This record gives sequence, structure tokens and C-alpha cells, in this order.
Amino acid sequence: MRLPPDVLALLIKIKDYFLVLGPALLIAASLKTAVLAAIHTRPSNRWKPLEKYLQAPSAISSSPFTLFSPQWLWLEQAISRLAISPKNLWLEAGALVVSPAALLTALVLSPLLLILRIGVGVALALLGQAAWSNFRLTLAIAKPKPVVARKSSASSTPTTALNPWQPGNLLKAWLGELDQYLSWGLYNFLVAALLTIFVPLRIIENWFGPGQLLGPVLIPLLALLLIPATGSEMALVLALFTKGASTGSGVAALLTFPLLTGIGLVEWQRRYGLKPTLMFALLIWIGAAVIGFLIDAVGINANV
Amino acid sequence: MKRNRWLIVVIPLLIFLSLVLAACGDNAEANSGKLVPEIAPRVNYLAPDFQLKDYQGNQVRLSNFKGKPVLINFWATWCPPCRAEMPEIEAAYRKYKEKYGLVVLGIDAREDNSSVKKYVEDGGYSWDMPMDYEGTIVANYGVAAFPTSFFVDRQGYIRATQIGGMDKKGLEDRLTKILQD
Repeated sequence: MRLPPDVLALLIKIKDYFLVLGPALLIAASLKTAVLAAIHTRPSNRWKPLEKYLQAPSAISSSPFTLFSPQWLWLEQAISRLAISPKNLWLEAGALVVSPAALLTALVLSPLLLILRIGVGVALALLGQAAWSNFRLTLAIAKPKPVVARKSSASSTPTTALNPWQPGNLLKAWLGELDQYLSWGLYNFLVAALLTIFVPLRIIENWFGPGQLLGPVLIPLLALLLIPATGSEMALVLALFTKGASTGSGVAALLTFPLLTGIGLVEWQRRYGLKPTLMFALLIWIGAAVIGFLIDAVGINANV
Repeated sequence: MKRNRWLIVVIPLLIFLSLVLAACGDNAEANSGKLVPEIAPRVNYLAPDFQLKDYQGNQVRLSNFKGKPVLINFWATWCPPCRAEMPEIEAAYRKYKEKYGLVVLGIDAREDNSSVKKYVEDGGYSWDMPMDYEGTIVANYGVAAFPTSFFVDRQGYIRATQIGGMDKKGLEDRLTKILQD
């Protein structure tokens, strides 16, 4: 049976995005596994910020369809330590934006986008630290909710620490990490491929191209289509650039795609409450739109 | 159960590898050898001239573009790798046409005007599409598979070729060989 040409073209495009971004995701997964394993065998309070920073993408992107149950005992412990407050929502968002996968995939596209991502991640972290102590925002702080244990084989076993350096454990952890990036990532690659193959260039240019003031404002809406799999959302950013999106619109996409995914927002709403999550989404959207608008106004070109 | 799990991994991996191999082509990169002032559809040789009409009836002649870098891309509407690479070609064409004078000639092989017109308008592709109704130019250039691309520099020499689809990086790498003065 022959596949229709368009379907085959779609598969080829998914393959292309996989080859462009896959190596960066592979490196990120390996780095994260190695560092977490090292931290786990030498527990110390001074490594906690690093542990939380690396854990952030896993917290909202664990795939229910994973083939390999990751040995994420340390993940269970990390989640139980998180206080339920809007501050941690912002810190988690900041960690997402500058997670290893997010930084490496941004670097694949352009050094300028990498620098922007780092800047925004730092800003989010500072905002999370400062906003709730210095500014009296009238947010209803979510009532602390009991942490819902993730369904994994690890949760059904006694919570004794696993030695990641035992034969097989590190490989399982690495495969679990890779699975988290790629099993959802393939969906994001599919969305990017669909846009590349089937959406005419004039449509993207008319909405998000140079000179379209509403481009940076509207483009974050596309994030709702994506699944949180940090790094793979770059495929859609790349597709938008290929199809003629302006640098400002592309930057607004870059900043919002990891943070405003539909599934991610639902997860955050469950954990932190509806109002903090809505306020967060609104502020991120406005902030990204303003940054994108200014970039287009000044005439900066990322040359992707 | 373990065996099934590994099959679930191995089978997609094989499909992925087949796509990689299917979309790759013999990459006859320009070597550092000297340019040969003879006409042949080979790297470092002068590109064979041709004259065709595009699907809008306009005459297109390769020699008219001497002094400009030219990408000659042989394609067809039924060709999936062509479909996959065309958005990248469009992006590169828009990026380089003003600054470097890049010309793209998408020679369609043995198809009718209406099919090509619809395909081009749906995709929003903006470069010239000469129509090789008889397949004469396809034969002159020794094209055996689609897509096949020839990268012609400002002096008319072929500096790189690609049999099979190109991704963004592959396209940019080959274009750099012809964009410079």
C-alpha cells in the first residue's frame, strides 16, 4: 500500500525536525540524568536549587504513555517539597524557559534566541523571588493541595532510595528522561510539520509576518496546541520562521510556547489554583507580546 | 512482554532510518578541484543552457541569469520529498533574493500547467517554475530521481548538486557555495 505523497512529505518533515532538534534533546536528557544521579548519591542542601531547576520540565511533562517507567524517586521527593504558592509557579516557569533542553534547542536556531531565553528565565526567577514579598498583588493564594503521587512503578514500591549507579538503573533513568522529551516531542514535531507542509506561506505572513503589529500578540495562542515537552516546541518556532514569521513574532513564540501549553496550564491550575495560573498566563502573554513588538519596532533580525 | 516492548522501539526506529535513507541522496559536493570550462551537468562544469516556458507562458532561459547565483531544482507535484523541501527553498529564496540576487528555477517534469499552477498557488511558492513537458531538460541534466538540485554560481559553473530532498541546513550549506561573489 502506498502512502499518499502528502503523508509521506509530513513524515519526512517530522524526520527533519527530529534530526535538527533531536541531538540537542539527547544531550539535554543525558546531562540531566547524569547530574541528577550524581546529586542523588550525594544529597546535600546546597544542590536542592539545582535539583529543582532540572526537575521543572519533568513536573509538567511526564508522559502517561511512557514505555520505560523512570526511576524517579527523586522526582517524588522534589514534588512533595514544593510549597504550593504562586511564587513557585513563577520559579518553575523560569526553570522551564532556561532548562537544558530549552537552551540547547534555542541555540540550534540562533544565538540571539538563546540569549533572549536566558534573559527571560532570569527575569521570571527574579520576579518569583521578589514579587510576593515586595508587591501586594491581590491574588487568592491557592489552598495547599495534597500532592498527587505520579503513577509510576516507583510509587508502588517502598520509598527507599535507589542507587542510580547500579547496573540498569542509570540506563532506565536515561531512557525515561529521553522518553519524556521525545514521546510528547513527536506530537510537537507533527504540529510543526503540519504547519510547514499544509499552511500556505501567505497566511503566516499575513498574520505574523514583518509589519503585522498583532503578530506577537496572537502567536502565543498557538502554544495551546502544543504539549509541554521542553525543547521540542522549538520545531514549531522554526516552522513559523520558515513560513515568514517576523523575528518579533518568533521571539514571542519562543518565550510563550513552553509556558502556555494547554496541558501545562491545566496542570499548573491543578497545583497552584485557577487565579494565580490565569494571572501568570496573562502576564507572560503580555510580556512576550511587548518584547516581540519592541524587537520588530527596532528592526532586530534573528537571522534564523 | 519485554520482547513486545523492544519491538515497539525497533520497528519505529527502522521506519525512521528508512525515511532518512529515502530522503538522502548522493551528495556530490564541490571538491577543491579546478573548474572545467566544458558544458556538463556535473560539479565544477558549466551548467547546460536551456530555454523553457513557465506555467504562465513566460520564456525562461538559464543564460539570461549569468552574473547571479542560480538554484535549478527539478521536481514534480507527486514527489513527497519535493513537497517537504519546498517551504525551505521558499524561505531561502526570500532571504537571499534581494541581498544576493538569488534566482530559483523550479523545473517541473512532464506535468500540465493546471496541476502545477494549483500546487504553486496553494503552497505560496514565488520562484519561476519552467515546464519541461517533454522531459528534454531532465534528460540533459541526467536527472534520475526527484528532487534533484543543481547550484550554479555567477559564472555559470555548477558548484554543488543534491539528489533527494534537502533540509534547511543542507540547503544553506550548498547555497553558501554560490552566493558569494
